[in-house]
Amino acid sequence: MTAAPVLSLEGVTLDLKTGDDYVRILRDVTFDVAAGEIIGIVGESGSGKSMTALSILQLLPPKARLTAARIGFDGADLAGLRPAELRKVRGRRIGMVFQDPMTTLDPVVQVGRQIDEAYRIHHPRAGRAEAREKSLAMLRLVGVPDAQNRAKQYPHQWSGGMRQRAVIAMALVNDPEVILADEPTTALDATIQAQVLDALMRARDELGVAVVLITHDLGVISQVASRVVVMYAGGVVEIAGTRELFADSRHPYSAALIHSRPGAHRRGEPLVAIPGRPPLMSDLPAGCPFAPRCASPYKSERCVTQRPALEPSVDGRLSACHYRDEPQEVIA
Amino acid sequence: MFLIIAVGLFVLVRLAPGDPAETLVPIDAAPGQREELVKAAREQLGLDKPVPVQFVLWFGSLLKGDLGYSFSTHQAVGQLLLDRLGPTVLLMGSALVLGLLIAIPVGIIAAVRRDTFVDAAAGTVSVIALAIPSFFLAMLGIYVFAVKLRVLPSAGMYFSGESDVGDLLYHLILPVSVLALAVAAAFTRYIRSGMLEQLGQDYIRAIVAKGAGPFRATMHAFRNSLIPLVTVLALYIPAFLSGAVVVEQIFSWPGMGQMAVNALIVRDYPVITGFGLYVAVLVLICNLLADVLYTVVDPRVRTAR
Repeated sequence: MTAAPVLSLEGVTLDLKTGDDYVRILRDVTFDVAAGEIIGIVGESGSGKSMTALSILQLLPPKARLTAARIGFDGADLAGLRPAELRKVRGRRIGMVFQDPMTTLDPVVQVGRQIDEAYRIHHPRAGRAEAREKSLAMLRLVGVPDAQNRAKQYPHQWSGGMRQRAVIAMALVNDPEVILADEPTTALDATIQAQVLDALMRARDELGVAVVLITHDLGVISQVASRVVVMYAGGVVEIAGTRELFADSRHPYSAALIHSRPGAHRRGEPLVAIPGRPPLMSDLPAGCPFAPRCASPYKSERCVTQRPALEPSVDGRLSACHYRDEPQEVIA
Repeated sequence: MFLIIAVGLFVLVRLAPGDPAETLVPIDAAPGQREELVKAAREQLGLDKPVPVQFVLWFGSLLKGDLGYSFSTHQAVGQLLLDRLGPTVLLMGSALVLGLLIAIPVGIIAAVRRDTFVDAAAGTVSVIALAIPSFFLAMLGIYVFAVKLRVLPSAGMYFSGESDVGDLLYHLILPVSVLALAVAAAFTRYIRSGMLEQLGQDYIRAIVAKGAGPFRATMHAFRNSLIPLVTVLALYIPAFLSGAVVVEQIFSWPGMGQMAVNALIVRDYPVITGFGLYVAVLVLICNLLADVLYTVVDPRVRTAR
């Protein structure tokens, strides 16, 4: 990475209270987001992707305990901000797009009003007309036709894909530096997905906003992201450029994930799944969390006893595998 | 619909045991005379005719807006209802408004500060208030404020026939407080649970992600929690406007509830049926009003243009 990071997570660790105990949901999550890039975060359900995004803006459930070495953003540490200061970052400088556009909008408020509101929260002196002008510009940017009239409609009058565009417009209206998009296409039809991704890319191109795209869909990643953070069991296992990751991943989990994509197989061949299931967060193995499912020929006693850290390999690739320097494609 | 209600009411009232003519004739009338007096009364009231004939006569005049005359006081039932409506609307309306004015902020705060001392306190007080019967509270109020402290009147609307607003307000304090407490207790719970449901929704988190403060997020949740509240109010208001039988009785409040109880005691058929019709119409109006209100609070109900 060349440009200075706009957002940098260092050692983000999150505990969630379940019953009487705290369970560690995120362990030492560390990565940077460069200005204007689209960075993907992939992993299975429960790997901590969404929690990572929520941690950045501290939209966590009340029973969560966040400890972070630092969540650096524009010289400040988001983890240490007071609520009032945090509010000035939320929606103003870091926007958020959630998974399900059907439930993200307030059902009893006109769509345009909700976007206006996002603008007016951060521009208290702006009039209605000014806010509406901004909203309409954003709706047009993300490809909502007839924005002027549609803004006066209620969310139930909008389709899922259109609503997600509205949510993206809402996240963009204050011209933020970063957008956190948490599975923005998962709840949508496959045909609509491409259009929503397109809207995000256009936002990046025209507004220069960095996009953190959280998804479990490697196909989406390969289409739009320039870099990928692979997460497993609450930790980062690999960070790589998208092309490098797909060509030559340095972690057996990433390799297995890429290999299990339907597109990786010839027609008629059975699909390959990663055997086993992710470990329970309350009962993580002492060594590498992926060791029980790992099919790497290099797997050794060390994998079971010693947890590998996220470190650069000899050629400068970040991987949390003891055998990061060995070629991984042999697993397949 | 209205016809079915009218027939049902008329038949049910007449099926009830007891003879209104009997109650009109003095008990100490001479044994021989009594039979004849009862018979005369029955003829005078039109009760000697077969029930279907009675119904047709009654329904015919009902269509002309005439609800008949009270057996005991000979007042026109329509006028009687109107006379009683004012005091009841005043009493119940004030209680409802006051109760909601308490319940809305308390319910919202209890939901927002869930599982804190404030929430627990609001919950405990409302359970206690719901558990105490209103007649007990009413008598307690009379005992403390009217008998012991002598600061509030115990009954009636005015001191001595004169109508003075200050005097009226003074007489309203006790009964309204008793009724408002019950309203507040019930609605605090409705509002709290409605708010809790809304505060847990995704759109609230999205609003916080926009940079909204807690107040703005709460207002969005409150706006949405009004939708189920309309249903509850539509069911509650008719029951409320038909008068609080017990409380009106205790405070000698000249309202609907008191009128209905007195009419039942003397089997005053026209008044009972008139009251029944009033309640039925109220239910219909409130349901209609609720449907209209839904379109105001919930854009999803509005038909697509």
